[in-house]
Amino acid sequence: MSALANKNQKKELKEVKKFNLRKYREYNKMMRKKRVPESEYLTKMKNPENIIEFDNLQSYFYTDVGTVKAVDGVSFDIPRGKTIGVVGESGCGKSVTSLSIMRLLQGPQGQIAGGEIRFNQQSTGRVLNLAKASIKEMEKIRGNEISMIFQEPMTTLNPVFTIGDQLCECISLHNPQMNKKDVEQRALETLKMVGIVREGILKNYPHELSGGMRQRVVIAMALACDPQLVIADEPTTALDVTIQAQILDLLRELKNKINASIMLITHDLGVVAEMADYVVVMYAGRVVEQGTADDIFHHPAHPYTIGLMKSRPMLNQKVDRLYSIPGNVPNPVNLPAHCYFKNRCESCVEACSGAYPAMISLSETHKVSCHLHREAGAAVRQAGGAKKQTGGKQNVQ
Amino acid sequence: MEDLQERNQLEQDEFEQNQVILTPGQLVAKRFFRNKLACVGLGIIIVMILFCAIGPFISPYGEYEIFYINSTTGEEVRMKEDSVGGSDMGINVKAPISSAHWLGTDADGRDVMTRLMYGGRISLFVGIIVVAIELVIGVLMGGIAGYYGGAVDMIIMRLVEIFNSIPFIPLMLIISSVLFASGVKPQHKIFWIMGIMGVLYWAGVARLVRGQILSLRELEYMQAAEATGIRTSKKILKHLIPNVMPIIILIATMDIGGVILTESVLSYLGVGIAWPFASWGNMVDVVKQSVILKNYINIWLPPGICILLTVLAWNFIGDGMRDAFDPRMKR
Amino acid sequence: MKQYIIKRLLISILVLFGVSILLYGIAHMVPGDYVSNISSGNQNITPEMEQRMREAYGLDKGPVEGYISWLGDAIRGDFGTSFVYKEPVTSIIIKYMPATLALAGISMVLELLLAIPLGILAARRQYSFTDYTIVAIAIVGISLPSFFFAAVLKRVFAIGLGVLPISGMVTARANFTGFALFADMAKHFVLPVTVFVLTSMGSYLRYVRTNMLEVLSADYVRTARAKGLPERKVIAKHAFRNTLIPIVTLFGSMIPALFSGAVITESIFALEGLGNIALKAVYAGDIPYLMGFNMFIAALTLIGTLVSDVLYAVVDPRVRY
Repeated sequence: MSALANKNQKKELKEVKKFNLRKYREYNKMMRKKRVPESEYLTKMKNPENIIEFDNLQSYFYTDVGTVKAVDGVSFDIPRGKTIGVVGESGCGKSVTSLSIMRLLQGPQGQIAGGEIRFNQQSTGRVLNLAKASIKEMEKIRGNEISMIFQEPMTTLNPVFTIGDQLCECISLHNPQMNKKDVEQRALETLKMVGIVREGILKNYPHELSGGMRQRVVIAMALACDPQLVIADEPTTALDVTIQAQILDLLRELKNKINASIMLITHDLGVVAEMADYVVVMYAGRVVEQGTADDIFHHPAHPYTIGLMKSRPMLNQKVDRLYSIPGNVPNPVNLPAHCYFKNRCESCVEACSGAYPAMISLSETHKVSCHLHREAGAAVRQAGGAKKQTGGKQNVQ
Repeated sequence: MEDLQERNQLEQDEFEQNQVILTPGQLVAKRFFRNKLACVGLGIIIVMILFCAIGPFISPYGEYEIFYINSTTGEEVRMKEDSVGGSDMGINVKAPISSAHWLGTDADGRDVMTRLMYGGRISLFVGIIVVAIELVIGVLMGGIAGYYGGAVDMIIMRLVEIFNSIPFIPLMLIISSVLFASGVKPQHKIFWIMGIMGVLYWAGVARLVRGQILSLRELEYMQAAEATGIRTSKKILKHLIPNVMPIIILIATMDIGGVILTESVLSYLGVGIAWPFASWGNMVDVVKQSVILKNYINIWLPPGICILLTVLAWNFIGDGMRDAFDPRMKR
Repeated sequence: MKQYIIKRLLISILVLFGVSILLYGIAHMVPGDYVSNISSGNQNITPEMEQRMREAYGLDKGPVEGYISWLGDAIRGDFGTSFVYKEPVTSIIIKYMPATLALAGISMVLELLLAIPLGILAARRQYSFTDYTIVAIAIVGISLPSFFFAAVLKRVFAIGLGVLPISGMVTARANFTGFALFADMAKHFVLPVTVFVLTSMGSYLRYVRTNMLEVLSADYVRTARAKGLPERKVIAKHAFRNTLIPIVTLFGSMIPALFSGAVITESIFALEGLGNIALKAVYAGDIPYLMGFNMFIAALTLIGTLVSDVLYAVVDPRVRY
């Protein structure tokens, strides 16, 4: 019997390999294609106030053991000039979501398998679907209109080039009209903006700077071209606490100065509470709850969010033991058909064994994906139904 | 509500129990056998070993047996038969491929197929023995250098440097000329060559093992082991050796191919295994005679292909091993 | 930096001493001495001559004394007189060096010119057909016995098709001059260089590919892409500069491999170079020449290692001596 099972397993693995190979080939072909007609990636925004709209984004990794659905059907918006915090534990797909915007997933294993990322490009007035846009188009956007701050300041800078080289490279690339002197001037200004005023900094190599300084350089690099959106992927995780505070202050200040949107990815709820206007909570590759910072912090609806809030250390509360959510994240290769959080959930109901819960609107801004809130969701919909004529009667058991 | 939670707990437990947990060894084996090329390599080696180990028992001829031919009747005569002495007898050299000689006979009238089997024995044997010698010396020296460090390390590493700055083939030439001058018998020469190659190859092994041990000593778990105050012998046996093992196995598989190749080169150059013993390398050296190179491909092509296949197979296995041990670094 | 180079030079000299002791030890390890072995059976050698030869090679003294006197000569650039050529070893080495250096030099340049771009290409197209083909060629190249490969090439191109010369450095009795001579020599070098390059390129190619793969997955390459740099520039500037670091360390280890390769290739194609002479010296028991030859290579190897250490500091700003 076990031999049979083994055989089946082998067959499965073989099929996975074949499937992956096909996917890799498709990817390589796509990457080699020089021209993509504009019609393939031009779309319309749902709300022109947004700078980015994720619509059912799916980013998969095709690995030897099977397809890992790192991001599976994520939809949320980033409004212009606001800060949006994306929270969740490690491996929930936060970083993959952000890398998908920049199309920086490690190919050919990691690919965007479906969905749209609509980008409202101010300079041309077009709306691009970044999931399909040509590489040429992406190169113009990267570092210029959307820029990224990475997690590890120790490894994000190239060790063999000077700070000046790496910073000026970025500026002159997107501003070809500038001459060398102007570029250097701009680089120094940007460094000043992030609080580095040091003689000869441009001639320093990354290893000659401390971690905090390097992270400032990385931030300067991200801000050098006045981007409309800055993606900060755990910008403070690798730094110690005092520097963390400085960097966060810096980010907030800079946001106001250049009026950019910030997509702040973190697992630190404290940081989110301090910085974000909107919060998106992710779990196992899906959005489980989203809303304004007030919605999430004062009226958390999803059991996972509630758990996250409870597991936060509080200064003014005396607890014997910090709360922790029991169990583990499900295996990302074979995700169950029911709610992914079911096995760790303390308030399961019968319906949880059924289909994955749909997104339910609790208010204008607050949405949650949980069976517990079907009634509340139905109520909101009925209230809004008079206006929108969409109030459906959900069968409440 | 309560039993729902219980059910969830049960489900979770069941899920965890169903997770097949493999030992590191099993994982390596699994990854190795998933690599198709590695399996092909293993297959080739097994076939080669069978061919060389069992072949000579099946073959009706001996390694140095010379065949004669009756020039009038065209009949072939074996060495031990009485009629060999006759006047119309000639040596059956460079016979074409026939049912009696599947690969014909060579320039001395010996059966190529049979010599291929004996030659393979030597090649495979040399590969394994040399690697065994280099491993024993290299692991010992590298281990001592890496574990004790300080002055011992300094001395051993300088020794390694000395051995590394003499290219192998030229050094082998000088050794061979010394052997030649001191009149070592051909049947002993092969052991000399194996011993010398093993001794000369240790430096590379020592450097790798030392590097591995040095990096292991830096790792947290070694410091943790140190902090718990376990005995040195236990530390070496339980923590160091199991972690150095992969690199030793890797060197072994990767080097066997190289050693076989080098041995064949030495034999070809005439400073390795010599007449009358067959080795794949000295079977190819007949190409120095342009008549054979031009007209008797059946004499020199098969041993060359055997070397190529065997070395290729060891390289495939080595690659498979490396991937299996270190899945991060694919191929 | 200067201090480091001086320190390394001193260590190199120390290592060279070690090499000479090792070589001298090997040459004099044998029971009985080689002079009597060589001269036995040769009617023309009188006991007097034998004695003179012993004196010449320091065999009349004990091993320590012998070594010291050999070393004293060697430091002055005198490695003794070759048995076969009856000429000082140093002048033989100088005379035959150009052919070997030409063969090894051309091969080394070609190896690097092929291995680096192909390795990078394979890494960039990981898992593609291109990648598999390049890696397959590399592995077959590593596994090919050079003498066998040379035989096949000779059979096909020299004997079968008759387009290339089978061996030697120039066409005998043709007496070419000027450009014709150069073209003729170039033609003779095609097969040796092909054998040389194809059989030794593989390991470098795979080394470059593995390192490139590692660099390509590094964070700073992602940063470079995130800046909006075109892919071509990401590879040519950010990734390549970092793969250069492991590549320069190869430099030192390439030299011994080149000389090993030269011995084999020169003997197969009958090229008049140091390696071929060394092989002839083996049959003639010409130990002084072999000693000199090995010392020469060892010195070159140490210089190569030193150069690669210095280059390492040049390409990696984190390394400061």
